[in-house]
Amino acid sequence: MPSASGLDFNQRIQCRELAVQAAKLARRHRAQVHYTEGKDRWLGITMKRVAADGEFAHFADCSSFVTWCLWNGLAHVFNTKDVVNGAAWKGGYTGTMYENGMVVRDIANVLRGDCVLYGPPPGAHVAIVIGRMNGTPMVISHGSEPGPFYLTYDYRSDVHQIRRYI
Amino acid sequence: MIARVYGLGYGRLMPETDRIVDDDPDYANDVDADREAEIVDLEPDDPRTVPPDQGDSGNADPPGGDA
Repeated sequence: MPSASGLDFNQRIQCRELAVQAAKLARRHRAQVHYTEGKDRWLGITMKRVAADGEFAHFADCSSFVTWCLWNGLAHVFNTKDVVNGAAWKGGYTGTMYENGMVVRDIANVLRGDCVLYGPPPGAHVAIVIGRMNGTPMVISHGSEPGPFYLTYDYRSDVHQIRRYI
Repeated sequence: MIARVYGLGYGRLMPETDRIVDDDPDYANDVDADREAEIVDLEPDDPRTVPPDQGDSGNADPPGGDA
């Protein structure tokens, strides 16, 4: 069976770097990253704002934020189809994220770029893993106007599932 | 059909049809390749100062969305 993204090993490594780079860039510029559930939340992708060029999404909610992070590697560099939401990179939410990708069962196997889904399907929130601190997976989460925030993956008590799209 | 799955630190319900990465040979080397993922360049935010994440509209297409 192919990987969740169809990318090979070396491509996946590069893709994870790009997704993490995007999340960190947005967090550094969080004063300019606004929270919205409106249509503007997809502008980061439709306007092709590429983190490797120092550009970031200025409007997002939680799911469009993590989708934009992953898009930086999956679609912009490797031209994959929308394996995150199955919506041609034009839409989606936590419900569609539950319907795509693969499950990470063991915390020990969590990798950068994996997504933590909070609340049972269709989900209440999602954040992207950007690495570990003292062994604990760390996420960047954009769930409100002051975000994105950098937090432990279990900063909420309703961690339901971790999924991989890369 | 729903199966109960237990991991380290979290358990969740998942459809039995979901593909699982943990036993997938295609990902066998990815964990080792990600060993250097220790974060040293960021200071975590204090979760006590983070406002509640906003709710989920359950809508896949704009307008609408989730937190």
